Amino acid sequence: MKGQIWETRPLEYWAKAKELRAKWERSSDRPDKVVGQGNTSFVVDWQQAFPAITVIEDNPRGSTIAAKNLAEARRFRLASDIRGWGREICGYHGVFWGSQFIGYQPDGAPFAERNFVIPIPCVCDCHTKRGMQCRDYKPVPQWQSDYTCYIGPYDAKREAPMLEHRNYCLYRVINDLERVLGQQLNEEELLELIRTSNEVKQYRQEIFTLMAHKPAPLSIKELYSTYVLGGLVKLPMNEVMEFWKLVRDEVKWRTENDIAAVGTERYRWMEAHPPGYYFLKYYRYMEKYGAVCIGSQYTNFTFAQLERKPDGSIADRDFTVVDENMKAVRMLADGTPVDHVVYEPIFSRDMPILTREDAIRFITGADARAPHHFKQDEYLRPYALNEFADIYQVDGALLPLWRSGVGCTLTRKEQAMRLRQAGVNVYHYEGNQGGDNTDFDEKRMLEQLDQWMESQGLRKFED
Amino acid sequence: MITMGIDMGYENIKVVILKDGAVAGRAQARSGGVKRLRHAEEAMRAALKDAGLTEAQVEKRFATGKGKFDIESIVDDVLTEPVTAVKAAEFLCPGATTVADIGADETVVMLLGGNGRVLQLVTNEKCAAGVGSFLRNMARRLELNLEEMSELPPRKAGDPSVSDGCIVFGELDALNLLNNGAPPEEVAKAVTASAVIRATVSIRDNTLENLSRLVIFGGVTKNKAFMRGVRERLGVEPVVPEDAEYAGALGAALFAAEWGARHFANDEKTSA
Repeated sequence: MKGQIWETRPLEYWAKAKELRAKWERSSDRPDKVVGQGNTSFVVDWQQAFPAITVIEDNPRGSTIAAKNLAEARRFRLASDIRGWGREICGYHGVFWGSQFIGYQPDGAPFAERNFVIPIPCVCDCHTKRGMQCRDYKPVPQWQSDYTCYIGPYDAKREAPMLEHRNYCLYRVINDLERVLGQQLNEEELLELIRTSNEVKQYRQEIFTLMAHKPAPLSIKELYSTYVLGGLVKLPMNEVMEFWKLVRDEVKWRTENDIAAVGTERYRWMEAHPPGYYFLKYYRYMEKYGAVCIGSQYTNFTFAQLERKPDGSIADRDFTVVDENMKAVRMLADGTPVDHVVYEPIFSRDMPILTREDAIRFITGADARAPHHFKQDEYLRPYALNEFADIYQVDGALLPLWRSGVGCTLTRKEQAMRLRQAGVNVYHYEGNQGGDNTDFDEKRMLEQLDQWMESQGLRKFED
Repeated sequence: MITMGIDMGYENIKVVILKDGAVAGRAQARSGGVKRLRHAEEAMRAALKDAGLTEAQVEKRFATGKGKFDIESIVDDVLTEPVTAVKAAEFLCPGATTVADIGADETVVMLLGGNGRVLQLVTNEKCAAGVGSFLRNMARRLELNLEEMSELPPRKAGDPSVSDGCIVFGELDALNLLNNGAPPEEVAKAVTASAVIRATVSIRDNTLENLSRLVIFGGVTKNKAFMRGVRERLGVEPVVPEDAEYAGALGAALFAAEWGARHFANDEKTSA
């Protein structure tokens, strides 16, 4: 390869990743299980503790369709549009639920109809309507799990009752599922799921620590292919745990031997959010310049839940964030500027988990323990992105300006400004979130990438 | 050394001939359409004539601009627009902190860090695209020539206005104003004010306000009413070199003159 600096090798875990992915794609073909819809949790996939439930997420399905079949994606999206689901929902939700309305999947197989739905809101955009399309199609039980949130500075006193409400919602959902479906949640199994999920998290944190290595052992392409395994792509947790251990071991070996994801790595850039799944080739395009995408908060840090510790490792964020720059925008009621935010622990990370209620508090409380609220805080969200840039020693950032999924673009301009102040070169492109390419201009984006790279003193390596 | 820079712009093709570090000739032609290559060749011949030189005397030709790949086969190298604009700024206005290139189809803003280093590169958002084309098209609609557009007095508070967010809405607003009996000059002032806002937002929002020595290039700089609006909104006096619309071509010619220098980390075409 022209311009090659580092040795590269194919990923050995790739075969296992594909095997797991294929297994997930067949997960709706289970006549012995009740197929449902809902993001059960980013933390612990509690539905696995039910004996005969399988929950399938819409995000990975919709993004896959957008990535693989633009014509079908457009057809499906239009089917959603004419039923009133416009751009207030994520692009890939529009795509996926259009598939339900039309009744088939891109491979021609019938759409796996859902028998219950738990719309789970997510503040990153308008996911609050996520999954409600099931009820547009046929009358199935629906539980709305509120995601109470506040857009603005964190306040522990306000957060505590909001979290309590979320606990109540999940408690009610699980109890109702038992009653309506006639199945009993296995509490022992639930506790075991928490244990394995924690182990998976440890492996992932190790991987994200190793990702700071130069050359990067993985790029964002690999991360996007794997990070959903065990999260949005719901799989048996013991297999997920084995898989992430495998990934950790291989990434560690690659790091120790300077095996690069991109052999031409000479420029590191990052993102903040998911890409336009309809145009993933820009990652490869940037590699022609020797530019590797090191990841994003979305893939590496699940927004801002993690941070770098003094020993260089990456682990759960502590409860206090101190930053001198905060004084410019944050002050007490009497006008005194403050340089720190304390995330008062609503309960301990090391809380004993012995009962269903403990488990529920552990699951919903993850957001409170690891300040997920960075997603809403107009100061801390840019702060976290700068922190990410520093950890991974990035030279530039490519931040999309989405025209839907407004939460994704929340504070985007502030993020850009803060990164620029820190010397990170920022470039924007425009499009629609996720699976909707309506406003995307491919030619313009590629031209912009050329401009960006040349302005950084880089020219394409010839093919 | 004699070099040529060709800026294949969206509306116009500009050519600059550089001889021993000084501009020896230049020319313009209309761009666009299937005859773009022919128009480029005509502009090149006109520039050579202006310089009193022959084609054989030109040692290197570099191209830039939106249509640069249309003439890739007849030049030695092609470069993206921001790097040629920065090169021209260094040549024409040493010490520039920010360069804004306001062309027919795009506004590109570059924050400079010295020695040709670009700290930030910002392209307008799509809705704010086409400042130059917008003004030209609206002039046609309003049956005003570009000279008349340029001489417009400033828009006052309470005068008609059009959308400054989206070019399409802006045009619709202008047509509505006309249909409701507004005089073309009033509509033209509103159109100019809208173009000023779109361009200055791109400049101000993304450059950490480091405008101490702002240089503006592009054909739109010929529009006095537009430039007055830019000055007022930014609160600074930008440097606008004479013939600012030739900046891209000049930058390309300067790069060509430095043939052999290492401009890019993996420079092959321009390395000795």
